[in-house]
Amino acid sequence: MKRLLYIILVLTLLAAAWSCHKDYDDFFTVAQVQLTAGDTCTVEKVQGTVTVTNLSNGQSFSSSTFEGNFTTIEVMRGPYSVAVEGTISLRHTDGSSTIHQFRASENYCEFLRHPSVVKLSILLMS
Amino acid sequence: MRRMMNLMIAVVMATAIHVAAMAQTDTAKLNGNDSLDSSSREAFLSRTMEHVDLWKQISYERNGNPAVQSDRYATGLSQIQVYWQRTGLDKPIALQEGSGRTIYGAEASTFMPLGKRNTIWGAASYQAGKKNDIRWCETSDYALLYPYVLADTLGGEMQNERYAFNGGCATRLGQFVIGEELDFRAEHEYRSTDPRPRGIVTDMTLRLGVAYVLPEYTVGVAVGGRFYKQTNDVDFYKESGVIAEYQMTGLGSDYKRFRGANRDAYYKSTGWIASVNLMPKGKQGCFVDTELSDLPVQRILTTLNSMPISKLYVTRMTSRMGWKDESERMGWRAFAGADLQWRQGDELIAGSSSSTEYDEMGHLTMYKNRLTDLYLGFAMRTGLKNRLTAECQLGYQDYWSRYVYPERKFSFDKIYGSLRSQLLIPFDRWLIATSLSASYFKNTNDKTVMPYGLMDSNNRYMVDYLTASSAADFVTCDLGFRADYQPKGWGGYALFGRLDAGLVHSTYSDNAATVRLALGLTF
Repeated sequence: MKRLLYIILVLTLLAAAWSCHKDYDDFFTVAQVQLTAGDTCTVEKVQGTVTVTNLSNGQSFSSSTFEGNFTTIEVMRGPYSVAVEGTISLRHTDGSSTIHQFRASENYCEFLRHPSVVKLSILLMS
Repeated sequence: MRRMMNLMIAVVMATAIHVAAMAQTDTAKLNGNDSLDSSSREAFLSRTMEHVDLWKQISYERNGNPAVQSDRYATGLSQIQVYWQRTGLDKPIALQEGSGRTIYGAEASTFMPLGKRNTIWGAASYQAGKKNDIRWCETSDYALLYPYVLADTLGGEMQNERYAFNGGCATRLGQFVIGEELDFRAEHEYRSTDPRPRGIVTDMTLRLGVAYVLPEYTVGVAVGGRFYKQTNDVDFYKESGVIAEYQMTGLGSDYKRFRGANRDAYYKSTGWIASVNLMPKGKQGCFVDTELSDLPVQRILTTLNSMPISKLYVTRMTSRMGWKDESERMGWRAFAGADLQWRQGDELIAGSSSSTEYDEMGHLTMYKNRLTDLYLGFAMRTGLKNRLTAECQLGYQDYWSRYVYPERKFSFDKIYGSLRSQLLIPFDRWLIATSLSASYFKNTNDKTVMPYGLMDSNNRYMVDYLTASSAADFVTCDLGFRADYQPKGWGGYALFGRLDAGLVHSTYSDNAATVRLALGLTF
């Protein structure tokens, strides 16, 4: 009888292991939002807010901390829309600098990789 | 469906007419057949007692192996019954299950040993009724499919129709017993006012089992498959407009991207079952019953090119181990057991869409829950003519659930005690069975974490209700009374009636009462 009980225990553990399912637990990634101003000028400094909205669950993440022309946000992996708004300082090819209000947006992008990068062209408002 | 109902009524009426004719014929012969009548009465009492006996139910209720079922009863019994049941609640225990139901139906069942080698059993039933005030669930089989259901804030009454069939056979071949069993359920739920959900369910389980008879023990192994499908849609007929339908994803969250007009879904699943059993052949010995099942259910949106937006894995393991000792006058069983259920919900990461076609970018395991139930129990049976059976159980439940982001968590722990008992009294042409059961569940700890700042008032109400009701203490009490009577000259036929009444009192949802009445014929 002891042997039978051991066999039953082993079969139960094997079956329990068989029923375990793969966990898709790669939930978060770092999203890098880069701002570009075209070929004639480079981005010197940015003061503004980036808002990324997850299209699956509607959650938004924001960041106002820019390192040069980009900011990074830790987000949940998935499809996103991006909106940026603020003030930007541009250096032109002749060496001059100008300051403008700007916006940038993207209706659909994917933050799935590690890290995920999206480049947005700015639209000058002034 | 109407044809099936008419067929069942015709079967019941034909049997009644046949029995009445037999009674008239047999009455004329009665005076010269007292010894025959006496043996018929003894046979009625012994087989009815065996099939109604709670001790048999306790011994076999955890054993799903069809090969072992041949040893369940030594006698055969067939039964036809009609029943009616009403449940009323002060407040719903779960919003998704409603605040009451009324059901009625007819059932025919049989268990028949055919000689020393073969045993067959089967059942067929039809049930109809309605469930009151279902909210936050427009999908059938909520207890199976939660949290991945279609929901809205209105809800309402649901009409319900169900057909169920069951059949099995066990054959002894030397030291081996081979058994097979089929269970089938077809269910239809709908509402005739907006929002108009409609759920059509087909649920089939096939089991194949083998038992090997050793000198002191019987060892059984069974495998099976479960095939489940439900088509579910919600329509609006009124010109006043529509409301949003939510694709629920757990603990009050929903898949916002597909909220609104996606009201057609279907669920499909192919699952497996495996069980191992050990039973002593003699009067005493160790017994083990273990069953493991896994059911992965896909939720597919029909209007989005049949895109599977989520997959739910429902895994269950039940295991009971103990020792039994039986004599003719008395028997006892001491056991320890564990019932575990865990769910894992994977959501699809849907990419960009071209019309109604979305790319599949990956999956995230956003929802998990786990229910662990550990218990110790003791059952005893005593009496030769009048039989008393009682079982008590003490246990601990631990429930934990989580949705990843925005983070939602809910957990509770409970300790519980339960008792069920039955007294069987045969006398003259009567068999009286009185049953009493009671249980008490006490919450020892509960914790809730919710993103209340992101939830609207309807969502907050639903989640608060779910957590408070689930974590509440509750008491149950059930009383049952069954009487079987074999009139003189009826041969192997007997009438029975059964009345059950139950009460549940929860510290959150107050009282729920159930009354069930059944009348039937055994032969």
